[in-house]
Amino acid sequence: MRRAAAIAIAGAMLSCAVLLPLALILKQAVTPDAESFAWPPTWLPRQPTLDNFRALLGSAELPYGLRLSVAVALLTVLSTLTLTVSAAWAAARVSPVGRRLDAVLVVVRVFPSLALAVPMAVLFVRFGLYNNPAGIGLWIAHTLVALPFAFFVLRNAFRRIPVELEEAAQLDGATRFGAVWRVTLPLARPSLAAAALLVFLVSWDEFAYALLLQVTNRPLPPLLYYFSAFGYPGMASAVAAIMLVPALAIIAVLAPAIRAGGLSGSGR
Amino acid sequence: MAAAEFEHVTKRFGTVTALDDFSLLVADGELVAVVGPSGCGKSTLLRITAGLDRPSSGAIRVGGRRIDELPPHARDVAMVFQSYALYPHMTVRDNIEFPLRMRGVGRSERHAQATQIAEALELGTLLDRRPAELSGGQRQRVALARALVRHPALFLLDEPLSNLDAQLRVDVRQYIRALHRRLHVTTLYVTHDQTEAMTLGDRVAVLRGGRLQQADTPAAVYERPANGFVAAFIGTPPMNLLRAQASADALQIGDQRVALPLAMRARFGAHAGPLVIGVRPESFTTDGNARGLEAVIDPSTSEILGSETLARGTIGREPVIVRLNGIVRSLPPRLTADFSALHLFAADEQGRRLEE
Repeated sequence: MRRAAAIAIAGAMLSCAVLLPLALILKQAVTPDAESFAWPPTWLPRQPTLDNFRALLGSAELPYGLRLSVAVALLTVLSTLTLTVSAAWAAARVSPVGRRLDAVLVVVRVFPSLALAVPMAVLFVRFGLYNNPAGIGLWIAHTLVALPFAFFVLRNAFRRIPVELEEAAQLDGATRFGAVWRVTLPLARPSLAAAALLVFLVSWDEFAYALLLQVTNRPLPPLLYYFSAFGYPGMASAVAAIMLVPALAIIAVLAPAIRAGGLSGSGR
Repeated sequence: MAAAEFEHVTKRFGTVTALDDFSLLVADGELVAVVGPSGCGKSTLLRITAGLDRPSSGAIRVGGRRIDELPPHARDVAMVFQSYALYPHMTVRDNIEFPLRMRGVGRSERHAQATQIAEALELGTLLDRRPAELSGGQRQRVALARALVRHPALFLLDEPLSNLDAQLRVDVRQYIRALHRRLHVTTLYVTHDQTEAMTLGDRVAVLRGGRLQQADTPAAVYERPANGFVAAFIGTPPMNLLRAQASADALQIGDQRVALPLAMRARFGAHAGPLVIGVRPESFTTDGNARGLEAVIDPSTSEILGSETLARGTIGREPVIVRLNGIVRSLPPRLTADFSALHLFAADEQGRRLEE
């Protein structure tokens, strides 16, 4: 009884911590800026309005930024998983490979992203990818940022899958690649889905590279930043509210796959 | 179906030689049980045969075709893993059909063959289940079915009974034996359990430290062990090995001098000097006519197991274990093993058998 109460209280506090900022964003998104700046602040808008959304959707910047952010995030998921599946498999199965890749990927994470973004911007200027309208440069940058996350998730997933299953598949007539394709990858599906979600959100929220590499062709996070920095809290909150939608959609799509599966039954 | 031939197969891992010049011919349809203590190279032998490891040197042929350079999927060799290695994301039917699918067998044919082998292994009602929903014995039968469904040229079993409880183990042992009689597939059966090897193998191959010690029928391995190691490894309890000195007319064991009867003098005289005498626990008898080594029995050590009674004793201070049939409530103070029941081994490291 007491334990249940404690859990309920902890749960409520945690929910408040997560939901309160969310509620404030949604409130500010439907509040005129004049009211947002007024004192004392209000909990609920006195004059709710959709003006912020109307203005955004009427502009060229928001639809462009939305398309750019979604495209870069989805492409980043694709490229990152393609690159990391093979690397993570090798690292999980061949131990010297694993140790070396660990070291390399940790070193990359040691530098602050801004320190890497500037030389990357210089490089992209030379290749014509700087401020690229299709976000090619940003896609490459996000792939590099997301790579270690996906790598560690997938390597740990592959390590949990017994190597005997791949060996059995080979004896059953599958090639080495066929064994991974038909046995290991299906068993790693929950982790693949989790890695995809993680990579999507890393790209979706990424700010430093987006700000520096896409100076005028802006994806959503820098766009939000500009509205906020130049004194339009309503518009900034509306962008944030809009950003929630694709993120929630991808979570809804991937969540069932993450929960499914399991390894039990392969052995004794 | 085919004969399997191992020619001087050697496997080194760095400085360790896991398998040392292993040569053996497994006849078509024969079941050879490979037995030895852990680390003797039996698992290495299996992995090399399966293609999961490459030999350092030597050749393996199955049905005349050299397979040791082929990848596992091209070898026509099937294996049941110690851990079974069932695919947890597939149903029992999909597990069994997997090897057929990999060979491009059509859907209806696949279905028919899987159903047939599943019926033979009493899995007919379990085909739609997942491995997680099966008991240990059922999982093992699925692993057998998956390996046998495509009629491999060579069938490998890696300690298939080690994960089963004692009663089930006896049942499955009989089951595998009957299955082998019926399917007649050339089989290498790896185990550390000499009882399993003796009951299942057409022949028993004893490995130690990567070297083949002896490969012969269970009876021959028991009756004529090739060296002291095989003698001590096969049989429960193991054969007693006694250090001894032979001379023209007597055997010296510890502080005991045993005079040799005339009929035995030539036999022991031929190996005068240090040697090792082997005597099976069951060779000791209460028969007053027996002439040979006399063991002094310590009655307090008697273990009555029902079908047999074990006890410890000494011959010239060397410890021995003796075994008598049935329940023996009062052990005689002395038991004799006849000279004719003694095995003679060299006193050196190899301890090879001295008589053919």
